Amino acid sequence: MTSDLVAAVDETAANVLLHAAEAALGTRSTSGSSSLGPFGVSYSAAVSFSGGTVRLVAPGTVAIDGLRIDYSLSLTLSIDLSFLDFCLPRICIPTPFGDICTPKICITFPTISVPVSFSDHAKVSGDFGLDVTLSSGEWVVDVVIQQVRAIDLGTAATLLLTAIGTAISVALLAVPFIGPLLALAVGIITAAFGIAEVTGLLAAVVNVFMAGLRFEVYRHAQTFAALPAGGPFDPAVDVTLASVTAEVQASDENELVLSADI
Amino acid sequence: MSLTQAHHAFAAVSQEGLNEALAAFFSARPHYLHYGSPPFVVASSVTTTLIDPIPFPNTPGGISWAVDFSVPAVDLFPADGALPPPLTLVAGQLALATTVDLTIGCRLSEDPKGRVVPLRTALPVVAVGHPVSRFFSPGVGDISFTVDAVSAQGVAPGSLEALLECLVRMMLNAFLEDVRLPFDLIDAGFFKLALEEGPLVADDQITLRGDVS
Repeated sequence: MTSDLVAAVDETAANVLLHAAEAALGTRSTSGSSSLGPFGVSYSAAVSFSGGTVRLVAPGTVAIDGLRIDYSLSLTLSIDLSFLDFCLPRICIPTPFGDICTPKICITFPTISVPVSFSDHAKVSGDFGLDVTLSSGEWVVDVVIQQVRAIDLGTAATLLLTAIGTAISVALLAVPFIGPLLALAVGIITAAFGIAEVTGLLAAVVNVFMAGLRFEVYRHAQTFAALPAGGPFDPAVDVTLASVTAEVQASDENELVLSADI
Repeated sequence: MSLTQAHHAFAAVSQEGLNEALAAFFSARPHYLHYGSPPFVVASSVTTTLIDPIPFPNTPGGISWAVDFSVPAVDLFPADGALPPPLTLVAGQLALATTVDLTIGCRLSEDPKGRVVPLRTALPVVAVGHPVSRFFSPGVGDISFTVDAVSAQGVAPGSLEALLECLVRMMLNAFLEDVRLPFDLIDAGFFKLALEEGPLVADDQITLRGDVS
């Protein structure tokens, strides 16, 4: 049975709708914690989405390839420097007046916080499903992430690894008594994690934003003025959308089809 | 064949959807169906449209009259059944059935007060027409309807039938010009349509095609 109203877009137009939905989503932010090798990392992150290419797959998949995620990260590494702790033993020098001894001196190093700011972008490919809801008198159609197929971080991990190394060196310079141990400390710390760990950290942050990601491609009042009031004798003509469905229909080209009954 | 064909966007309203929309329109604005002069219509309102009586010599106050249409029922090509001859429905056309109540105030003979009594006849008519569109900018446009021919059955002589058919066609076109269905209704607000093709009538629906922005 044919619906009262049918609206369809091909993949070209679906891209237009998706990109508008990405812009409408705006900037999303979150914070959390993760790890970088043996070190704890807390982060706050803000991302925005843009681009990507839509492929429509019947009966209900909107595949998006190359979805760009621009992110800004504020990382704080927590590095326990206790591995540098040392003690100068008590040393006594015999003299005619008796032994002169130095006190035993122990140096303990604190746990330092190393802030790192970093911005870059990733490209994600994933499959989204269609979700139609009637909420608070409005019909809403979202495309909702079903699975992330690929995350391309580009050269971000390498750049972030370098940025972290630089930040650690700067932070260590401010640690009292570390002078002679600076090179040793930097070497030990940066050897504790590598590109794989940084890549894992970035992927984890990106996945936080991908989880539950949804783009709103349709929102419409269930009852709306199809024609606005036009004068004293022409009140608004209200129409109610009793039902709305969305699907991908396959033919000689796949289309995203929205159907509604008045 | 895809819905969008060589275009990027497609919108359609089915015959049932169109009749629902027309019912909503005339329910909200019934004055488009009801016209007349006093005493049948005393003031313009949401429900009626006041028009002067027909002036005529030596008829004080003129000839009072009223015309009332039932909510038109639209049948989109292909026709659901046979149309009254000579009407036929071809691709791109729609049929429209309504009943026209024609009323005149018949002046009582020799009544010194000039009182009138209503004389009324109900005339079932079927019309054939086509949709027309206006497009102003993406998402801003509408479709309306133009009647091409009317058939009023059972009227004799033939010259009276032709007269009534012409009269009803003019009146239908006059008020249908104000019955406009915006693109936003037909595409359910899914996108802002930049019209490139249509409105077309086929398979019991009116279709629009174009691009989105």
